[in-house]
Amino acid sequence: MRVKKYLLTALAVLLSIVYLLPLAWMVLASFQSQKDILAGRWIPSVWQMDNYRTILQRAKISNWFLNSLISSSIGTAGIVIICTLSAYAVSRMDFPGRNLLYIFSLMGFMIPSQAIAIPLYLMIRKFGLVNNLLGIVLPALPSSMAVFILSQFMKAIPADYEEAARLDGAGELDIMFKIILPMSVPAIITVAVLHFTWIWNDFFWPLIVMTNEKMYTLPVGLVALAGSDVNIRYGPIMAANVMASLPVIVVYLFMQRYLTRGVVLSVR
Amino acid sequence: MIIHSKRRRTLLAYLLFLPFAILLIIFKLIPFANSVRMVFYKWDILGTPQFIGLANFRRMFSDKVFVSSLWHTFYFVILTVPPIMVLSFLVAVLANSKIYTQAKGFIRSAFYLPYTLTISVVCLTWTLLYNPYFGLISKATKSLGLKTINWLVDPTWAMPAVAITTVWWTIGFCVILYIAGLQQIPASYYEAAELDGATDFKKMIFITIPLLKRVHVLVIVTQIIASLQIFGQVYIMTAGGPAGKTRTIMQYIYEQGFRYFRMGYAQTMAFILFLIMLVFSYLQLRLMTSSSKEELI
Repeated sequence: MRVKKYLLTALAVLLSIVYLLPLAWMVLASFQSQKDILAGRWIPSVWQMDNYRTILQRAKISNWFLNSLISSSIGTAGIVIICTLSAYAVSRMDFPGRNLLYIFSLMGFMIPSQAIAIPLYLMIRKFGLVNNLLGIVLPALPSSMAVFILSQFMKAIPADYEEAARLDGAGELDIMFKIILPMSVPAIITVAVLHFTWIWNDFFWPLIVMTNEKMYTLPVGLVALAGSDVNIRYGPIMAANVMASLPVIVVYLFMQRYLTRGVVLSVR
Repeated sequence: MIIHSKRRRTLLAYLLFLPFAILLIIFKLIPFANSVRMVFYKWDILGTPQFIGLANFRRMFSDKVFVSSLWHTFYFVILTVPPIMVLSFLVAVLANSKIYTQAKGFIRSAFYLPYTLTISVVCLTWTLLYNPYFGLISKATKSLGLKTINWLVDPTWAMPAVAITTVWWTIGFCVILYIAGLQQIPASYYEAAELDGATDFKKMIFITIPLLKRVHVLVIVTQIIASLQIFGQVYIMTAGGPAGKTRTIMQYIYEQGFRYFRMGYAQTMAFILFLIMLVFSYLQLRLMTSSSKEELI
């Protein structure tokens, strides 16, 4: 029994390490000279920061970083506010047409964003929002996934709390802001973390909406950088990769619990 | 008084729902209505759209590139979904087996980490790993005495290479699902089987696999949906090449719509993709709304 435990643990650890090798190489290569990379080395012969210096000087990476950060943060904040309110309405309030509105709010699931990308682009263009961060933020706001996760969570909160508060004369808004929303904080964080990483990592939509190099988000900028600038070698690109990954990895380290729960909640 | 407060509450509910509803209509439903309308038009980015009936469809079905893109997309689904399912199941079983707790957390984090990275980072890194001259994959195959493959340039291997990267990138998502499912299987089932002298293998075949039926379906459906929409990996790693061998339907839509600005024609293909996905999105919605909170099995 004991031996089996050792063996299985060793297997698990070994497998995880092998699985992470591509990432390990990415980080190591970001400290290597072009010569080291071309030699197929793992450990840099000389640890150097040149790649990071090059990428910070040459590329518009700070612009891209800010674009990604601003659109992801504002988008996430907007989603949380708008979808929490509507989820509260369809899950905690009783009114005629409630079920219909709930089904309506889930319609986004039936319309994949890729299927409407072209007419949406034409609309954004008409609004003058091409090369504008609002062009990324606004279409992201009506998230059926957020309403779904939040309303499922709120539905499961027992009615007792609410009834007690009502007897004490609390109004609907008191109940919402003082009882249900504070109790829904775990679900709200899950929704926030999930959507932040989704907007941060999205590639297709920003590729279409951002045509000006200054307005690229990080994922789009990285690809443009690797493809266009002939003077950029492999090392700097790996350095850019590391810099682009750090924020999500930080979010992941601190919010792992919420993220993994989000995975389960988002499919059920 | 009571009637009054009831009406007020209804009004409040609609008010709370209103911002979401308006945004959903503007940014999802109206574009969707337009997406259906556009398929009947010759719609270039400049100039007036021109009604042309079913000409877009006729053109599409005689367009060899469209047909091959559709086939490449299905090929990609076949190359990715079964390995993702089998591998993530095995990893989850290992992560959930009787190993040290620290190792449990480690394996779970290790496999989920790549999924948090943006597709650009993943693809740019793998492009270098696949490089036949200095890439670590060719180094590994060389040390095993195998022939060096120029993965992303070889017509036979380009798509499998893109698929391998995708499997590596997405497995974590499904591992988490499987672990959550495994944790919901009551221990008493296994204890009862042990009393009957069942082996580990038998427990796996007769308890674990059948009880996780719902998770299997969830994994298959979500991964088919994701793989049908494959774009970034192809765009970044091969740009649809070599000789169009990795051009998938989204890649072709992108080329037609945003490189040649044939919006009507591109939208007609997007509409076909929508129809294919409809089956799976409906299935997913049914699955999501049919279970209670956080129950996976």
